[in-house]
Amino acid sequence: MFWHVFVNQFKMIIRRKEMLFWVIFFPVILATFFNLAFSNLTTQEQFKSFNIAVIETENYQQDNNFQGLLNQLSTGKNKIFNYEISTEVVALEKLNNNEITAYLNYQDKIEIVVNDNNSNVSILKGIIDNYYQTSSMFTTIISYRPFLESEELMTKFNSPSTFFQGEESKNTDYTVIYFYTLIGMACLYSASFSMFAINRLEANSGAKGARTSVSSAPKYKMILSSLLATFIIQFISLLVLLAYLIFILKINFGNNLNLILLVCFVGTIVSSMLGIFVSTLFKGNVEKKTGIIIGYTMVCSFLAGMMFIDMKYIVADKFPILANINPVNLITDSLYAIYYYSEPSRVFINVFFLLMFAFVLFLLSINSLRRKRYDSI
Amino acid sequence: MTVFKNYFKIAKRYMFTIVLYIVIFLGISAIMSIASNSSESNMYSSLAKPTIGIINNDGKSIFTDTFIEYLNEKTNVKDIDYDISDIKDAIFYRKLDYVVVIPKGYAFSFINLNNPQLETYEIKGSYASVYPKLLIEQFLKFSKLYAESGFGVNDIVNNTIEDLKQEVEIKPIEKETEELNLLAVKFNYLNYSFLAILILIISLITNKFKKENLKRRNLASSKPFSRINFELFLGHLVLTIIVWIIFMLLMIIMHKSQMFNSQGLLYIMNSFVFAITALALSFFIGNIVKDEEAAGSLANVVSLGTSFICGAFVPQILLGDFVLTIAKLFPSYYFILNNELIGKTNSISWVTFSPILFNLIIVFVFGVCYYLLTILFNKINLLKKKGEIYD
Repeated sequence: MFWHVFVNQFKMIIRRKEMLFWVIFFPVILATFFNLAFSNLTTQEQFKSFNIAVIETENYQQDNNFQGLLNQLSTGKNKIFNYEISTEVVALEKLNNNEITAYLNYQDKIEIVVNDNNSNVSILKGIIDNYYQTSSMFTTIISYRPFLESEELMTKFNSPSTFFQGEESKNTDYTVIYFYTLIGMACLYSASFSMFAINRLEANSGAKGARTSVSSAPKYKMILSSLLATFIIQFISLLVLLAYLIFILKINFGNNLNLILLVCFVGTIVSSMLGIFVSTLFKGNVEKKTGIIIGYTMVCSFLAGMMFIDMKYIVADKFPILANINPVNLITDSLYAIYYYSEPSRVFINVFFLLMFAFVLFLLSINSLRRKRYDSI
Repeated sequence: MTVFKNYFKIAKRYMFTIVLYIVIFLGISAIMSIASNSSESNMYSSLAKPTIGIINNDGKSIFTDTFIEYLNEKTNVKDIDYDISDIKDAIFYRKLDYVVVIPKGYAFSFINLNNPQLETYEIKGSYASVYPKLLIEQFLKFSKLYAESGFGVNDIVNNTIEDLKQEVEIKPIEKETEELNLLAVKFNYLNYSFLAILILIISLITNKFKKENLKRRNLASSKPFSRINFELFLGHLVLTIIVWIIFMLLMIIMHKSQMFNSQGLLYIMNSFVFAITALALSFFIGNIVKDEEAAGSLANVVSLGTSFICGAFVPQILLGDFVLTIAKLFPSYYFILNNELIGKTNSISWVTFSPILFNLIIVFVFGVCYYLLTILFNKINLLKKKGEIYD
């Protein structure tokens, strides 16, 4: 009986080709869209040298130190900007066309003229400020300690010194989070498979359901075999997505494949339980139940940062409980922990919460799953 | 108008689902709107003032106090708990650009030229970390040279601070209208909400009209096929307008002060034209997709996909040229472009309005195309069916 139901449930899902296609491939298509949108983002975050112009004024021509500084900063591997000497009219036009970040107008003091305030401007300002600050410092030191040689001071000042010992995280591309939320969403979304399967077993869902109910097979066996059938399909569809992300889009998932598979496996358990929960606890037509699953999935995905990555952080920071009962967030956070942290304890905590969530859903639906009596149907 | 009247009977039957979708996406829009307000450090905008975290394990001393005060003035310093995973999370999500940990005994060791080191956390090589690093380095370099020249602690910090006060001016040539651009971002989010809601609801209802016996009954009636289609579309239109009004009310409630001017009106107009086009697209999808579950997936693909590649969730300026070329194939691109244009418009004149009008027309033409495509698709299907029946 077990295998009979199993095979038939399997067939029924496989036959709804259009649904099968979309549920499996819509995360794949979305991932492709994501990949397109983010291809440019992290490269933008990396510092690149920028262009500026310097107005040829009398003060500029007389200040050899400043010219030296500009030369120093615009050459070599770690150069900060490229500069060109120009007139104010030309520079202004280039600034308006966004060809340069800023231009320097050296009157009594150097003036930075910009289009809008951004990081490049801050860096440029830091450099020019530094120029004045350094000369102010030398003046102060020499005035108090006239016996010190300015040459010697200069060498001391410019000698490289290390003030920091930095922690260098290797995996810091935040756009991966979007792809992780996608896995979380695909997980929950596929709950509709088990929802349909369990729905078919319920007597009040239609003629087939009524027929199944009067058969001699124990209900728990039918439920288990249906769940097994949908679980396999759900898990495979998740693996398809995972393979696409890893092998085709080359999304970095860290390097612990076993843990990733564990997360996907537990995620699929959650989605199976969600399917049971929705199909048994909510009364009404299939459209209503599908609506609930779609709606719930979207809310969870949203709170896990799928549309707006800050959301995940805000929720975890301000409403930690909400973060811990949101399966999409738990799946996303597990994958993030695998990617960003080397030790797996955080993954296990998340997996524990996921299992608890599945267990609670199961407990809540267990009563309605039992065989029911109908006087009339 | 029998079809039109029946439309609402069917809509009523799925009231729960329809209201559920509207409530959910309304909620998402509202939260997103609020979150984009409060989240001070938006990772996409280039930061003029970096946000850093300082953990001081060295206690109070003239040197560390001055150092922290200096950083307080130049950056947004956030209080953080000393929990490594919290710090690392904050760095990863770009909530903090830079974290400095001052170890115990740092000030004493520094003044005595033992060259102690600060522990730092940053996204290596990122824009946001360059500036705070520069600031800190400056302070330490200056202090060190004073220390090396034999100054006492008080003189070291006082002179350093005095030197670091030397600053040049930044002269902007154009004033940005920050506040209104934020409103544009919020209208951009409507791309997601409208498409998601309309595709979900419209395909739900369209599917009922496609049920074999209802469809045959309709076709056998004296009503021409195009008329049936048109009345269905009218029904969808009423629903769309209701959804649109609900969202506009939300926008008005949330941004009262900015909505009742010419700019606000342009935003509203832009969103209306887009809502109609979104409806036509939904009508098209509802008609070509047979399985309801498939329609749900498609709703997600279209609403989320276009939101990402057309610039609703990631600003258009940050997208690559190739992506934008693809984005131009979707009406969302022009809708979002228009919001950005409206955000930049300070006064309305023909010069500023004509590009907006141009985009409005493009969005509308997309809608007309979707409608015609649907009619064509249904007509072909009908002819096929006729063939089957006669055979």
